[in-house]
Amino acid sequence: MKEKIIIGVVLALVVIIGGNFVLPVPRGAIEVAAEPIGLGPVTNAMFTSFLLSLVIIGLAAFVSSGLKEVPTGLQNVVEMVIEALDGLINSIAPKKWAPTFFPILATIFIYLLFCNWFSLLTPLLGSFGIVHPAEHGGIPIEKVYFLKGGPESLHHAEGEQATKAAPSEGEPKAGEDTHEAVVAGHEAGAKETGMKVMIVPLFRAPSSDLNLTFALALISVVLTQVFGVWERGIGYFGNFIRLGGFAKKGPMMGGIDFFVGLLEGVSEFAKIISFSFRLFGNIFAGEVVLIVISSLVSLGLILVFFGLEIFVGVIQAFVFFILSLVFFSMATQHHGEEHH
Amino acid sequence: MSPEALKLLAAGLAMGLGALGPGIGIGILAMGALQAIGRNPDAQGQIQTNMFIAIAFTEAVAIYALVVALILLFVI
Repeated sequence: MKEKIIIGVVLALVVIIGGNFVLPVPRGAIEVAAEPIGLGPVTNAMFTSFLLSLVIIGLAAFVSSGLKEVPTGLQNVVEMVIEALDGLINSIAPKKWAPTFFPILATIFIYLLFCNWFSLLTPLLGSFGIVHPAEHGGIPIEKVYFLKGGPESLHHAEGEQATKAAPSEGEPKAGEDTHEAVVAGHEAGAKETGMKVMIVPLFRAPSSDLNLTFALALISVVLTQVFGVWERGIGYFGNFIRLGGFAKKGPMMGGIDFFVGLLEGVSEFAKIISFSFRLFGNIFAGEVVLIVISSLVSLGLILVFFGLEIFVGVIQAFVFFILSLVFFSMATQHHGEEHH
Repeated sequence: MSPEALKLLAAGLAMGLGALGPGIGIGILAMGALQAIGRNPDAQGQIQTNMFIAIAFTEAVAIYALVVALILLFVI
């Protein structure tokens, strides 16, 4: 058994490192903003997010269809995750609010977990996409494999708006896809030279798009205010406009109190920025690192960065979850300000 | 100096200087956590959880610097 594992690992490393020499491809393009793919304003991150939602819903339906009294296998794993989340929420949130918080927070965690881990697939899936003629930069068209219609179609398309979907190699990547590329042959794009194209990837990790992280941050912070008003009525905003200090402690301390209240209000907006940029920065930087490292060194070394990305994905999903939980709980707990 | 050179220089400076503070901060956090675990090994789970949360906060500041560097390199 152990010999098989060792042979398998050595073979994989040979394929990975050797594939770099057999099939050299230029480095993929790094775009901060998610690019629209053919269907109107839908970007590749939106498309991937939709697919991931379908995957999560499918997984949930599949697991809940065959529920057993004594859980095994997949049901066991899912129950472990949900129990851990439930325990955490019950330990931090007030008793009457924990059932209300659980759905939104658990959804945030599970959805972000899938989104963040999808960034691991970017070096592989980021090379499938729609091919556009590039005005500046871009890769030479010889490097594009499986171009539907061949390179001539792009010359026709330059006049009109047509773009062809074409799976193609964007970065050096070993394993299955180099096998199919080798089988299909290099001849696909060899005839026309000198024309540069760029590939808009079809898939992109949703949390590497600032739009999604900003949206989730907005949801989280606005929900904090909603829960606060739900629990404490309009007096919740007395947290931000603290006029009580003038009566109780005199003008000086009252002024300081008022200023602190204003600072709390500003810090709510800072939370939106901080939530969105923390998640976006971690995942987007992870994608950039994977793409750049894969073009710098032979792919055996990228495994270390994959490990880091797996870890970072879990941590960032967990941090978003626990920060939202803590802010929700703070909003619904009555502060003992008056009882100093 | 050409704008290209300045952009590269700025990206390098942004990330380099931006990593000083969080690096020291995370070190101090870890020191506190390890000391707490040393005093009270039974509380290791809770201390570890809180340490990770605090580290994520401080790391976010370094990530802001990274985002600025990436914007300098790839967008502007």
